Amino acid sequence: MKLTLEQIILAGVYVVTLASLFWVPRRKAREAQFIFLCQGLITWILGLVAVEFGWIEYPARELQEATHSSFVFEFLVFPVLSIFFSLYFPTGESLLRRTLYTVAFGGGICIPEVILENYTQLVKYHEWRWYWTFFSVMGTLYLCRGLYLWFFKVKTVRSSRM
Amino acid sequence: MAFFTQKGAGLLTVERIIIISAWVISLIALFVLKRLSWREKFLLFIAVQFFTWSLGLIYVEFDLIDYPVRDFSIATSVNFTFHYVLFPAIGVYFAAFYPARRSLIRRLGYNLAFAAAFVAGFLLCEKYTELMSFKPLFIFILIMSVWTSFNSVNHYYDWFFRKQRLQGDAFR
Repeated sequence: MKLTLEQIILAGVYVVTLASLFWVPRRKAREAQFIFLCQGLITWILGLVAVEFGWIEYPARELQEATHSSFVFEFLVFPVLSIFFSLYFPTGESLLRRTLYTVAFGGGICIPEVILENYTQLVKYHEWRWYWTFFSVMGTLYLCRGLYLWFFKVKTVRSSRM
Repeated sequence: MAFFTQKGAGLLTVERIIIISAWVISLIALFVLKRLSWREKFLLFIAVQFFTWSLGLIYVEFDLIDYPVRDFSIATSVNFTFHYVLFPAIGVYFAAFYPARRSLIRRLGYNLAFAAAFVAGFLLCEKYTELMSFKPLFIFILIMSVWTSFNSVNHYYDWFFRKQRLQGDAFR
């Protein structure tokens, strides 16, 4: 069996994402698990909506029959990314720092996705545009962080530099 | 979504009524449950979802069950409503009323009642609606999944909130 480029990329994404979990601090296990599950709640429905309306397509995916959305992105990559986003968020720093931090995450998803869109069958845009990814990623990361702050009663110090 | 816009064949079929009432009943049931705090309910809900999305997708991928009439008819082959709100809501109730301090017989009976309810619901849906179709073998898989996932979530809830509800309960 010859592996296609898409299969190699998918396998690599699984390995890298699972390996990255070793960098989650052990004492933050509850926080990390909560964020992981919570982000799944958000991406599950939004991912289905995007596919149902035909805005975006994932021709090469691992579960061909069960779902037309990307399993690895919705239930693994994005939730794990969200763990790092919320746990290392620069709370109490300047607005500029917090904005740059968020934009870095939005770009970190958006740029690889545009490259994959152009060169592989992993993702194809129809009505979708790169900035939809960019803003929806940042929005859902913030939403999940909001739920995390509520759940763990985290006090964010309101910076006077805001 | 084809589910809401499809013309013909009547707007309110049995399947649609069931799917809509699943949303309404689950959300009301979560709202009126006063035994647990909102944090506890939320955690239990997303913890059960972990099992419903993974198992639901696997069973459909391997053709163990079909959901011919469903809400996201293009995007996914599983019934979204059931896996997203209905089963998690039932799981929240499972943990909320779990008889942790009662005898083994009581706890087994409690488990059995939930599994039986799932089997009854699935059989009714299969016989009288187009919501599901599966082979008799799936009943066994269903009982095992309900049993393991609800009990895992129950233990997870204990660990997460550092409760000692279930300590040593296997041999009491």
